[in-house]
Amino acid sequence: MNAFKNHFLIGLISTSMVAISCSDDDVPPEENEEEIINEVTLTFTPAGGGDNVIATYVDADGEGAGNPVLSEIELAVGTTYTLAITMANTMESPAEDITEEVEEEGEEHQLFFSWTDGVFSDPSGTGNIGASGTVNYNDQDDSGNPIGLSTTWTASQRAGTGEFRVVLKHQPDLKSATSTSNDGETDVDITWTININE
Amino acid sequence: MGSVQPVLRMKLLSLIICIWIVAPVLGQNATCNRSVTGQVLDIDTNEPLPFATVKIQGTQNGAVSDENGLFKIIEICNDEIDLEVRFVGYKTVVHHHDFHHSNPVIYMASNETMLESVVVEEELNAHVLKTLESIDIKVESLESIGVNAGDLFSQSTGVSTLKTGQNIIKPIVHGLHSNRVLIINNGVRHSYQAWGTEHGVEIDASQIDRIELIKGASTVRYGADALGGVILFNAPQPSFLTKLNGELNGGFQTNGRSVSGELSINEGYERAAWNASISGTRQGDLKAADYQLTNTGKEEFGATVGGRFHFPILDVNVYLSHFEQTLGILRGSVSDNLEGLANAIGAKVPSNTKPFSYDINNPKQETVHDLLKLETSLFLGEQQFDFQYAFQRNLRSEFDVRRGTNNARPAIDLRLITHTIDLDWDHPSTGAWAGTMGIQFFNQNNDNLPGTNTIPFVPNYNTNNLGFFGIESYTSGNTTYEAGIRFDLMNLNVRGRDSDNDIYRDNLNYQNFTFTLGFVKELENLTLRSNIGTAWRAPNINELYSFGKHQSVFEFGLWRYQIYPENDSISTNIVLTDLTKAVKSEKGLKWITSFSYTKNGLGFEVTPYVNWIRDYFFLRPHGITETVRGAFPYFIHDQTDALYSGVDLDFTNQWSDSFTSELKASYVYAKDTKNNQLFVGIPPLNIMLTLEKKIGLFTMSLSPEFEARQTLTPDVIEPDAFAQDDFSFDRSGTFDFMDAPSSFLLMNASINYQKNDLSIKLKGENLLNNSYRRYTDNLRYFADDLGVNVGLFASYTF
Repeated sequence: MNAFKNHFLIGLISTSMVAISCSDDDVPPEENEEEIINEVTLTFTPAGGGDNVIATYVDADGEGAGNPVLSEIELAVGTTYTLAITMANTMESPAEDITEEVEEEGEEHQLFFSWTDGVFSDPSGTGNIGASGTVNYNDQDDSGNPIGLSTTWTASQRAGTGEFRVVLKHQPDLKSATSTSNDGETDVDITWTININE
Repeated sequence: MGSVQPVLRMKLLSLIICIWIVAPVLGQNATCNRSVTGQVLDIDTNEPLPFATVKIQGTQNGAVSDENGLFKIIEICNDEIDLEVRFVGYKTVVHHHDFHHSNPVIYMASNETMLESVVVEEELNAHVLKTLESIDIKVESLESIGVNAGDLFSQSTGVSTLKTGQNIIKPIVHGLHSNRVLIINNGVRHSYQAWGTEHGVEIDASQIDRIELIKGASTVRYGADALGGVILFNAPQPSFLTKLNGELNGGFQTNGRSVSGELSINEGYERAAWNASISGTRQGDLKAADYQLTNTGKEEFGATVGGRFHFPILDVNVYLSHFEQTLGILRGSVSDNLEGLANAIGAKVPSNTKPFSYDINNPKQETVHDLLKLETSLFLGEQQFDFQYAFQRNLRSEFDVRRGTNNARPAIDLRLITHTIDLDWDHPSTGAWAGTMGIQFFNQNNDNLPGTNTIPFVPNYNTNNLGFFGIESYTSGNTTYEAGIRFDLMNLNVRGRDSDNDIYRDNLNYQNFTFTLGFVKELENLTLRSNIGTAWRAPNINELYSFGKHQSVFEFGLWRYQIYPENDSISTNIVLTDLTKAVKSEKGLKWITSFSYTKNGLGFEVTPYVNWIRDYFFLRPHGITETVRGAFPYFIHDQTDALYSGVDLDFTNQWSDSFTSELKASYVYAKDTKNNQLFVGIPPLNIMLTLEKKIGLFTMSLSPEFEARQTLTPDVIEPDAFAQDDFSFDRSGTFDFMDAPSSFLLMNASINYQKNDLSIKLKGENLLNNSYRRYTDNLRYFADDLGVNVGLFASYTF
């Protein structure tokens, strides 16, 4: 009964208040955009030593209509590389490392790759995005399924240019030995230009 | 409950005294020169009941109704009397009447029906805007249990439904919806996040017993936003002078394996009455003809309490309602980038389809709507004052499929608090003139609740709106002319954050005049109505400020983008103002005419209309944005001019005492007149036939529904082609990602059984289990509509 009375009184008082004065002035809370990944870095480490090859993707305005900036992948013919992929949200400060989150939730995430035929000598084919090609995964989740934060690649013996596409899928309750790049939601889908140099 | 009433009554009394300095109350009248007139009707058929006995309790004074159901009792000595109305085979009703109130209309219920006899006091000016075509629907208990409020009026001509699957349904009136259709819930301007096409109406269907649909532009009476029309939902009023009684309703439906229940009770004394109800529904995954629709369950809970107090010169009404919903959205409708959208559209069976379950996972919506209403009517001789205050609280949390712990957080979390005050005065009729004047005020406070981990889609805002209106009617012979005018002042104060989390603010003022003009001519079998009226609405918050991803598209409000035609580029990291980009209010002019003819059980009604809308807000695709998740289409809010016109047809025939038929058809044509383009989502031609046959205690009905394919659509650009830039479209207009679905025929049937206190209904929908999609369903891209459904419902009164 008291609650009812109070409701009523509050209603009346607040109505007359807003009617007399104008309005309150609260601003929406500051939210951390945890959703966004706006920087992706590919680090190719040569198996026989030498300088790392780095390619980046940077989308400065995140969800805005502005387009991202990509650098090209420059690999040497016949060389074998270990590819490490890192992802970050730099719209937040400090920047958030999304790679860790993907690793922790390995059972819900998988990276898929596709490339122009002939760019690599190993794996052969064109990859596993919308297709059933092989990728040399170096890491596994707790169920023994690949994640793809670390992979191995051997560049072709012939110089050339092509495309290299990386897709990160979020597959909660969906990831399995048979799940594919068609399952789940896309967290990352980026296509780089890849050059194989003499 | 008993202890609440006196306190409330006192509070209300003091409130009323605060508001009006009460005019001198009419003194006692000792001479016996009072009289009362009234009418007795059958509640089912609305036909007059001749030879009903009306008696003043405790006296020998009384009368008998004539062939029109009319009666008059003269030489009454007291200011207040109890009228007892009897008729053989009908339930006796007692009505407390005093002479400050208007004359009673007595609706008698036969002993065979579950309905109770009721008495309605004619309001002095009950049908303001009588020149506007309106449809009044009585909703039976068995029709409203286990259904969506948005579906209750889908049987009416001129109305279709905008769906996001089966759980989220909102009305389309003559092609318009959302912010262009005003909803009045129990006399209160219903406040919810109306802007979203995927935001349902958030009203509990099981608590509704009457719906009125006004098809014209009735902004003058009800306020801004009523461009398409107004829908009024009404819950039952507590009845006086009835012992504690109630009704228990329950239902089960095979599709979704849903269970629904409702309990309502009522008790009335001479001067006070109350009612209360609770209701609930639990529904699991629904099923299309060929597959399960995963994550389409819902849970609903509602409760209401109403009180009504009757004093010599004033009536007081109190109404409190609470309604909460958890609504699952089809899992297979979640798509990410254009490729995902192409996959989702192309899927034969929606992705992630799983066996039946009652679980509701993401995506889902959780909503709460609370309403507290206080209403008083003051009767002073020939005039009447109405004062109404209402408080509404609306919570909306939308959960998307998100990464990690964010999955448990809503992506949109809004709280909308609304206060409304309405003050109406029905002035004394002076001969042929009658009229109403009023003041309406509303204050809305919309806040984003913290913890979404995403930049708010819409900013915080406060709206204050003050409206003044006056409507006069003049009757001459069988014709009534009506004219009305309204002036609105509106203030919108906005505080938001841009994509860098920087704060932006704005303060906007709008003002507008609207008018209405019409006539109604009632001939012997023919009624002719015609009305022309204007309507307006200020730009909605999402039309100005929306920013970011909402479902599978990016959306930018008018002040969140700037196009640079010189190099064909767009900038979105800005927040504009009225100085940098002028945005006008939307204004409509609607002309609606209706001819209705009835004779000997034959009824025919045709309602053509045309609605011109200037500065019409719409969302149009503008291009592709590359994001880390791939390519997404993005849409921008823009303004154009629009024309909506169409016709509604209704043809009824009573073939015999036990057999009736009704044929209904609705057609609407819409066009972007500025760019000479068509819009997406205009309802196609719809035809419904209902055949009803009564045999003893059973009523059987068969109602096929046909919906044609919408042929007047913009061009189709499939997501694949769009992604590969392999298309061309006129950027001033719009396009769709998929062809309009094919025409379909649905077969629906029901059998009702009714005896004394018990009534049972068996209902079958889509009995042929056809696979079909509706053009006005947001999920038509991803999955078929519902397959066969059989429902069993029962209602028991005590």
